[in-house]
Amino acid sequence: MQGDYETISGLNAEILAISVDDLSGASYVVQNLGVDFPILYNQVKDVVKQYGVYNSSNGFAIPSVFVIDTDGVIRWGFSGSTSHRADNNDIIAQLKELS
Amino acid sequence: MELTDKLRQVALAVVALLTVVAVAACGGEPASPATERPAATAAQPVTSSGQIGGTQPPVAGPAPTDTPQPPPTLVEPTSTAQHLGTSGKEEGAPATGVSPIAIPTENPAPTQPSLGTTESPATSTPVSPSTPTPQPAATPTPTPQPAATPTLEPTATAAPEPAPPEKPAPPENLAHLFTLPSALDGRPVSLESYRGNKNVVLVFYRGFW
Repeated sequence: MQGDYETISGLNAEILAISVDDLSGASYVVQNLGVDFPILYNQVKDVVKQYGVYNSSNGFAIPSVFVIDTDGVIRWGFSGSTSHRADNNDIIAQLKELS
Repeated sequence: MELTDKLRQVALAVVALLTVVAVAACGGEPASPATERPAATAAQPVTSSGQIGGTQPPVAGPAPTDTPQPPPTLVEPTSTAQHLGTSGKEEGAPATGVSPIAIPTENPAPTQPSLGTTESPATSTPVSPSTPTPQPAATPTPTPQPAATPTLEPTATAAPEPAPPEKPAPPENLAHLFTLPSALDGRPVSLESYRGNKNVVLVFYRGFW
């Protein structure tokens, strides 16, 4: 995701990553991976539940991606697993349609 | 048998009278004493049979033309008159009796219902306790039933559902707004701050990626 950040930013889009990990884990990602986009911390997991990607069996979020346009409307969504994540090319294609 | 004997006597009397008349007509005005005698003899059987034709005593005096005609007419008419009389009385009496009875029976009958009907509506409206009153009362009760039909209107009035406008209010696919702290510096980041400005790629992740 970080590798395509410039392309995504070039399509008038911002990446917002939400983690339900504890704050130490989120900070570790930011500091060690050098991520340029905001990583948001949602330990209470309310936003995860609102988007319907909460995995109640392990208490974590299901790896998912939503493309939201400037009107606040979800235009595309993907929900996978830790081993099956969304392809960056698909995300870029959706953003190109919005631009 | 008696009738036949009487008839014979009457016939003899008639014959005697006819002979007297014929003699009088042929003999001229004053009858001889000989002619009067048979007449008197002839009159005796008449008087003997006078019980039936006893009303005929003027026969000897008056004109002979009137006397001969009545006896034959009296004989036959009497027999027929008896049958007709009895039958006439029997038939006439019952006929007249039936007709007047039927008429009054019909008259009082309609008068009673007519009075009942005339009284029933009059009393029905002001007075409820009369028996015919419940019938008209039943008729007006259906009228209130249609009034119950308007009660259905309230249900129809309940039909105006203000709920539908509420349903379209929440638009689907509209992203839930949130404000979460950034793991980098802890500053709050709001999704709403990007509305009308930039598209957002919202990523839910777990652990290291």
